[in-house]
Amino acid sequence: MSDLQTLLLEGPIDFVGQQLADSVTLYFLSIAGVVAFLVGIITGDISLTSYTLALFVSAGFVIVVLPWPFYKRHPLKWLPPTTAKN
Amino acid sequence: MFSTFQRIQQYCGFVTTVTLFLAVAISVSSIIQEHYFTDIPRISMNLQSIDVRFGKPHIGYNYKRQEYALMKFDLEADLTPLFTWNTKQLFVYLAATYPGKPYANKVVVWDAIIRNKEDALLSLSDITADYSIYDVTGKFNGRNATLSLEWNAQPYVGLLTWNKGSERERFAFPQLTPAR
Repeated sequence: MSDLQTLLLEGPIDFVGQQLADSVTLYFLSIAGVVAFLVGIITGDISLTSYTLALFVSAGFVIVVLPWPFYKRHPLKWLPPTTAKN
Repeated sequence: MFSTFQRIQQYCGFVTTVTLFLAVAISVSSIIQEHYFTDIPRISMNLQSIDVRFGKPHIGYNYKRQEYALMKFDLEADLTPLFTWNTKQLFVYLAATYPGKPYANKVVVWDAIIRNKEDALLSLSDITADYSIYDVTGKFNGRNATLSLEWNAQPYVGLLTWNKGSERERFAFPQLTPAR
């Protein structure tokens, strides 16, 4: 597989990046829910709630799912290869 | 969350959780808004005439000839307080209840679906009922009946609620009009 295919289809990120992605989903989507509710109750229009939620969800999808470089700042340090002793 | 697919799964899973919480919040807030922050709708109705005839109450197959009642009424109602941000539509109906054996009878005489707050200001005069009343025994025998306006508020998210106005119009079924 080419590098681009690996990047998009497998999208590996390191462990610190995974923690960051997890936090981003939690906080971003929680705030999205609260903002969508407030938009709806203040304007009195429930369709605006759906639209703001859809907007936030699609923005969050791009931020969380794609393997951005800021998820790869702490690559795993592998030990140097040891030669087999026989 | 190592691979793209795992991140999609985690993300979409949390989206459904957030949507569920949002739905609960919307339905609870609209219930609170309806009970504590809105006035009681003003209703006034007037039964103009009721006519009891003998014959088939509906066009169609298998209706036997029996007594049936046709009504004409006026209705003025301000149902705008019932529209919260979560109200999808209001199913309003005029129901007549009268006694019977073994249970009391309740018949819907007229109904309407209201989709906007602007349409919720009803001002109808001299309209004939959509549906006629006919009894299971085939006779009315001059029983007393009560007409009341009831509604079913259908929300976007949440439970259906039914309620009725406090205005009641009492009448008695007249005797059969003699055949012409």
